[in-house]
Amino acid sequence: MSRRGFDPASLVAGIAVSALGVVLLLDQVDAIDLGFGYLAPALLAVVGSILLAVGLTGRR
Amino acid sequence: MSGMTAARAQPPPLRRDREGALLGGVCAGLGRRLGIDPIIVRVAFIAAAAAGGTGLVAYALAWALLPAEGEARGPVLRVPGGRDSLSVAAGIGMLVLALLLLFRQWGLWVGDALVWPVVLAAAGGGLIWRQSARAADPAPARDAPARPGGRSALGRAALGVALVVGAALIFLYFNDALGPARDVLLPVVVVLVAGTLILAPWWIRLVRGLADERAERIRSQERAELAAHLHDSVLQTLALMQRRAGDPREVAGLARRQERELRAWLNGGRPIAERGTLAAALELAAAEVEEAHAVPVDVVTVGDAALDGDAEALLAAAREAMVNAAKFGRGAVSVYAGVDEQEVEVFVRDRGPGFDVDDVPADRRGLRESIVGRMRRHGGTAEIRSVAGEGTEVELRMRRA
Amino acid sequence: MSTPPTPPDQPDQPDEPDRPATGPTEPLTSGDPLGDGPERPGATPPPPPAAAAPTGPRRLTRSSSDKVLGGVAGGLGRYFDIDPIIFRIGFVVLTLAGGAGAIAYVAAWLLVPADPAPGQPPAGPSRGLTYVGVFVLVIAACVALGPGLFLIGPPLVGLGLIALLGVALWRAAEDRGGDGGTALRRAGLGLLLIVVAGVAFVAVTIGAAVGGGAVIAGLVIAIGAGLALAAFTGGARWLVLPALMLAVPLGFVAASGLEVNQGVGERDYRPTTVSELRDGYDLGVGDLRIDMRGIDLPDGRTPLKINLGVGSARVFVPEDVCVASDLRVGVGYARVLDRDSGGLDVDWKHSPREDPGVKRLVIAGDVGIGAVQVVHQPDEIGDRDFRGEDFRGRGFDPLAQDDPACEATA
Repeated sequence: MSRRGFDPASLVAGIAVSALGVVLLLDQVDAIDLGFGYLAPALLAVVGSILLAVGLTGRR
Repeated sequence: MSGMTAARAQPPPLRRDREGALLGGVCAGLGRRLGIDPIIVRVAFIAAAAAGGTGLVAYALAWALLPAEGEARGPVLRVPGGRDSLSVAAGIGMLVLALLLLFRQWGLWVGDALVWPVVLAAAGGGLIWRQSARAADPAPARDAPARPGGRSALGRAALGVALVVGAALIFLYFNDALGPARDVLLPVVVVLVAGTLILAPWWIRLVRGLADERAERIRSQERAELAAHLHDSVLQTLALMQRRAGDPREVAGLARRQERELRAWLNGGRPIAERGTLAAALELAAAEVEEAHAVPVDVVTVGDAALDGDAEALLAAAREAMVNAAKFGRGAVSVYAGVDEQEVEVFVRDRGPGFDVDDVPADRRGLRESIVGRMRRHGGTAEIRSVAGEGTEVELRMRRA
Repeated sequence: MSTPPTPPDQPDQPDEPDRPATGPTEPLTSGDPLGDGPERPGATPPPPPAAAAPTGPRRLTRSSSDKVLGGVAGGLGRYFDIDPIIFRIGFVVLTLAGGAGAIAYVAAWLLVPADPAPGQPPAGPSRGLTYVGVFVLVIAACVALGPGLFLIGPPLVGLGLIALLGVALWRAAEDRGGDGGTALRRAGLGLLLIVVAGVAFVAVTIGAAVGGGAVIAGLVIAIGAGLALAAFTGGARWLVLPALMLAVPLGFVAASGLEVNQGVGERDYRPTTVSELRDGYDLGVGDLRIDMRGIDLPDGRTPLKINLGVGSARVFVPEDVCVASDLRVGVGYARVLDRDSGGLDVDWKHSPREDPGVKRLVIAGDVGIGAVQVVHQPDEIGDRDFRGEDFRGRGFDPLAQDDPACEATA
C-alpha cells in the first residue's frame, strides 16, 4: 500500500507538531505565558491542518 | 505497472465558479478546487465574518482576485462526498474554529452570545438547505441507489436541525433566558406529546395509505414502460421478421439481436449501450461482431469492472480476437470473461480449423499487434493457443490495481 | 478462477465444404433456440457463481433474516461470527442494570443500516445520524454535568481531538475485508488502544505537573522533526498520534499553570497571630484551608499568598476585613464573598478603594485546577468545592465597591 515517495501530509504534520512543541517549550522556560485562550486555538489549528492535509492527499 | 484504477485527473484550477454561485462563486470555486462541498466553505466564511469581519474582507479579496469561469446560474454544484471529503471538512472546520477562538482572545469579538449561535445556525441552516435542494431534484434514474441516499440525507437534515436548535439554546443561555424558556417549553411539549398520541393512529394510517398509493403508481408506471418497450422494439422486430421471412439468415439475425436486447433489458433495466461497464461493452462488441460477420458469438461474464484505460485496451484486444475467431473459425465463437478483485481474464474460443501459431510471420499485424502487443503495452498478457483441427483459444489477462 | 466454458457444440450442422480462411456460412440457429437461463443456449455454465460478488470491506448491518426486534443482535452475531443469543442476553442484562442496554439497542437500531437488498451494494453508515448522536451526547453531557463540566471539559476536548485524528489516520490506513475473527480482534485492539491512551494521558499529565514539562516539549519537537523528515521517504503519519498524546496533556498542564511539586494532602491552617502567618501557603494536590477568623489583623495591608496545584483552597476571613483579591485559576472556580466566576483562564483582580484605617487583606492566589473560595463563614460553602448550597453569586466585577467592610468607619 505505501509507495516510496514524498508524502506532503507528513511534512505538514511534522511542521505543525514541531511548532506546537516549540510553543510548549517556550512556555516551559517562561518566555511566553500559555493560557487556555491560546492553547485551544493552537491545538485546533494543529489538528485541523493535519486533517486537512490528510484529506487533500488521501492515500488508499 | 498500470492497473485498473481510474486515471488521476489534474485538480481543477482555483477559479470563481459561476455555475454553482450564490454571490460571486468564491465558495463554489474553492469547494471545487478542494473537492469538498461548497456549503462547508460558505459556513467557514460566515463564521470568519462573525469574528471581526475577516470573512467579509477575505471574500471580497477573493472575488476581486480570482478569475471567474463557467456558465452562470446552474444547479448547485454537488461534489460527491467521500472519506477524504470528511477529513478536509473537519480540518477546515477546526482551522476556522481556531481562528475564531484566537480572535476571541484578542478581543476582536462581537460577543459570545452572538457569534456562537450565528456560527451554529449558519452550519445547521446550510445543511438543511442543501438537503432540501437535493430533495427538490427530479427523480433519480431507474437504477440509482435510492435507499442509502435517503437514509444519510435524513441524517444530514436531522443534524442541521440539531445544530440550529443548539444555536438557539446557546443564544438563550448567554442571555440568561434559558430558565424562562424552559418554563414555556414544558407546557408546549406536553401538548405536543398528548396531541401526537391522540393523532398517531390516524397519522400512521394516512402515511401507509400514501405509501400504498405510491407503490401502486410505480407499478402502473412500470407496466406502461414495459408496454412501451415491447411496442417499440419487440413488435417492430417481429413485423420486420415477417416481412423478411424469405431470408432465413436475416430473420435469425434479427431474432438474435432482439433476444439479446430484451434479455439485457430484463436483467439490467437499461440498454446495454448506456451501461459503461466492461461486461456491457463486451456484450456490445460481441453483438457488433456477430452482425458484421454473421457468426453467433456467445458471451458469458462473471463479475464486472469499470471501463477505464486498461479495460478499454482489454476490450479492444478481445474484440480483435472475436473478429479473428469469427473470420477464421468455423461455427460459433464463445467468449468468457471473469472479473475478480485481482485480475480480469477473457477467453475467446472458436472451433475452427486452427492454425500453427509459430507459422505466423512476425510482421502480420492481425495477431501480434492488435492482441498481444496491445495487452503487453497495458501491463497484461495475451496467449494464443491453437491446435490444427481443434480450434483456437485466445486468453487475455489483465491485473487490477 | 476456474476454466472457461467449452465452446458450444453444434448439433445438426449441415455438411460444409472445406473453406479456406473466409467466413463460414452456417445458419445462425444452434442448439436450442428456446434455451432458458441467463446463459446462451447450448453453452455450459461456468463453475464460478453467476452473481457478481460485492467487493469492499465488511460492513456491520442489521440482519433482516435473524431479527426479533430490529435485527441488531442478529447483525452483530453475523459480523463477529458469534451466536446472536449472546448479544441478546447482553442487551437484556444491560437494560436491567441501569437501562444502558435499551439505549445502546436503540442507538444501534438508528445508526446501523439494514441489510441491503440482494445484489445491491451495502448502504454506507449513516453519517448524518452518527453526528446527530454525537451532538446530542455532548449536549446531554453538558447539561448533566453542569458546573463540574469545566473541570472535565478540557481534558475531554483534548482526548476528543486525539480521537478525531486517530480515526482519520485509521481510516486512511483501513484494510479491506476480513471475517468475524478479524473484526473481533480489531474491536479488542481498539479498546486496548483507548485504555493505553488514557493511561498515557494521565502519565504525561503527572510527568508534566511535577516539572518534566521541558523534556516532554523537547520530545514533541523531536517527533515533529522526525515526522517532517520522514515525509521525504514515504511518510510516517502514525507518528502524529504519540506526538499529540504528549503535547495535549502537556499543553493542558502548562495552560492551567499546574505545579504539583509542593506536596499532597490536606492542610488546615489556623493562625492566631500575625507572626504565625506564613509567607505563602503552597500545596501540590489537595485541600487547603486557611482560617483567618482568629487573627486580629492590623490596620492597612496584610498579604496572603496561596499557591495550589490541584484541589480546593478555602479562606475564611473575619467580617470586618476588606478583601482585595488577585486570583488566577487555570481551570475552575473562584469566589470572593458574594461574587464568583468560573471556567478556563479565570483571571480575577479586584481591588477596592483603599481607605485609611481599614483592615485590608490582600489575597494573591494561584490555582492550577480547582477552586478558591474566600468567604466569611464555612457554612457558606458547606462541603462543596464549587458554590455553596443555594448560592447564587453575582458575577465578577473588578470595579465593585460595595463591601461594607472596606469603608472607613467614622
